[in-house]
Amino acid sequence: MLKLRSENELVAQLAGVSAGYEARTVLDNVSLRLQAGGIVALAGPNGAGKSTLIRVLTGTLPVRSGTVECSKAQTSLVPQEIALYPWLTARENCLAFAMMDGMSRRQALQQAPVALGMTRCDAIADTRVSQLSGGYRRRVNIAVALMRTPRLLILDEPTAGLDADAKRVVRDVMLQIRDAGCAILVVTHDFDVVEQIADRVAILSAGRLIRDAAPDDLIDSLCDGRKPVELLLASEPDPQQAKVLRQHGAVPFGHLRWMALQPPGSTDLGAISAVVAEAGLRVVEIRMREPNLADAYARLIQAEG
Amino acid sequence: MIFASTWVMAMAAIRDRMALLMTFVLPAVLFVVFAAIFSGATGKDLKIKVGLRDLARTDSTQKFVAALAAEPSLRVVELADRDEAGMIDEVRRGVVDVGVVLRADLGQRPDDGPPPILVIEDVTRPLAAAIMIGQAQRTLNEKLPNVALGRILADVEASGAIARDEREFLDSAFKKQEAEKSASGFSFARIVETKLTDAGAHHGNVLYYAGAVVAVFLMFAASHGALTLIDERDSGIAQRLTLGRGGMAAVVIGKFAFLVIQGTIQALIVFAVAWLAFGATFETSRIGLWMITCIMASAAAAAIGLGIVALCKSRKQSESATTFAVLLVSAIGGSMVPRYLMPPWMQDIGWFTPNAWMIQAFEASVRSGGSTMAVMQAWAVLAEIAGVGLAVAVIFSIHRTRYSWAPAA
Repeated sequence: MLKLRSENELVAQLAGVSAGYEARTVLDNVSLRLQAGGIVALAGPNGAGKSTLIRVLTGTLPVRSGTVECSKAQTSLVPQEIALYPWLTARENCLAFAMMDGMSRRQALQQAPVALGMTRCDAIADTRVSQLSGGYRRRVNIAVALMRTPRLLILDEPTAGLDADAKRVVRDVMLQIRDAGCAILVVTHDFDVVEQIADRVAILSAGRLIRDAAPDDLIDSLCDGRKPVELLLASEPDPQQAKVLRQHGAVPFGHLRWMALQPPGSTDLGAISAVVAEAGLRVVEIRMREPNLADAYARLIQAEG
Repeated sequence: MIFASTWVMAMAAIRDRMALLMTFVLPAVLFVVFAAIFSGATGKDLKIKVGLRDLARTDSTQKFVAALAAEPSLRVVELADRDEAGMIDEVRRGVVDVGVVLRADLGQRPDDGPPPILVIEDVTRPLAAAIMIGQAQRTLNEKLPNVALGRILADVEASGAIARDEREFLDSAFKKQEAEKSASGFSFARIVETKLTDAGAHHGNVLYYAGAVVAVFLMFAASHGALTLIDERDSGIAQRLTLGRGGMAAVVIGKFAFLVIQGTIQALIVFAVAWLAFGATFETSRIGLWMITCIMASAAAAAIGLGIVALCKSRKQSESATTFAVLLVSAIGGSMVPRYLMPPWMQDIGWFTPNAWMIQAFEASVRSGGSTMAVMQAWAVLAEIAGVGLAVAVIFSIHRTRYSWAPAA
């Protein structure tokens, strides 16, 4: 089993870290703390520096300035891809990667059932990866990373492409690993899962860490206690119409979908409807609901421009 | 649907510029190389390297030497300090393709000694001796007809038929000889004798082709195995392995070790078939040399495969590059056509291919009397190739994996 560690024990820390490739700076003065028994979700638009931050934490990219306190030997990465040998079984993959990592065969044989059990892969331990479902492959992907009994586990989009049931199992697996005392950094845009498991959400934008807070705090601070109003428009707004919507704090939220916050002091949808009418748009559906992390993230990224 | 599928394939080719270049340029380059080799092997560029020693130094032998030297299909090298045994050694070691020793005046009477021309051939180069004997016949007929006639008269005289009337004598002698079909009658064999470097060796040319084929397939198999480097890079496995204690260096060396074992077994199987199916004889006392040769050749092939794949950015590039490289070095290095049948300039280039050294090492290590020095020289070159190839593979695998993590600009 993974060793239980005291909560709040610092496992990794970045302080004022800048890093990049050749002349390009990708991370700019980033500070982040990862503690045992905690889950931090890392989000940000494409090119924000998430992969570079992973590389810094795993020791595969030197920093230009700042300090990194993280043991490479005690850090495991679960790549976004299914980084497994499809012709090997789940157990054989665990053994192969562990032994390539320098573990003895005897040790690997002892650790494999633990890793497979923790990811609920016991039943398929002797099945070839090529014959497994997407959900099981994701879990074996995690099991392989657990073979080195990490103190810090980094998961890159662990729920990508999974159905709701498979996501729920992966979520439970992450919680179980956390409960065993491991620090988890999960890079994801699956805010449903993040809201359920993350202690903190760190948001990167253009190489800077623009928020690092608990999910509820993030929602409160960005939504300011107001409820989001979801609009389903009849047609895609032209640039001028979009400008009007943005001026009133609305942000795009998907195909024909925009989201605005309920105006302060307002209790109905009249004010929002008026804005839409002012833009010359027709609404098919309008709905007010409780704010969530996805709303907060969308507002934050929109504000960052 | 069909158009869309075609268009997707076309875009895949167009957007991988290096692969595109290889797809269309490499066939032309290969054609040039193959045309040079095969036209050389079958046309006017054929130049058999002949080691020649004139022990008799008579008027007829000197004319014969001059006529051979003027023959465009031969490269005559006079080895003035070699006796018959020395010439056999030169042929066996491949310094010359075939040896010719002129032991006596070409007009000597058949019962005065052995045939005056001795042609020394090697089992691995039977065509060289056949071509040499053909040229010797032509030279005697065209340049030294009096020698040929003298031999005929000597043979006829030796047959014992002597009469006053010369024409009647010759006619009757020829008729008698034809009727007797005696071994002692006139034949070209009475002028030229052939001798093998290894009289006891059977199917030596099979052993040559065993080595040649092993060289090709070691490299094809190694290249195929090395493609896992690209697959692992694309699937994220390389990123995961980078975090391991040994990093990508350990991964590449592990693949190298597997490919060496696989190659050694491949070589074992091919030579076993040469032995079981063709009856090729091995010098059992040299089995250790042969085993080490298998390992060295496999190591060189594995390192070349890994090195080329590590240099490439995509699977498509790797497949084109390795196929081209293997075909090219196999053609130039003597795996498809024996190098002695190639133009001299191409024979020289052949030494820059691993195939030439693999073939030399296999050939010299399985044959009795094979030069141990030649084997060790080939090992040294193969070891250097393995070292350089492996270093390139490790350095570029680390570099490429790092590069694959960098976000697009």
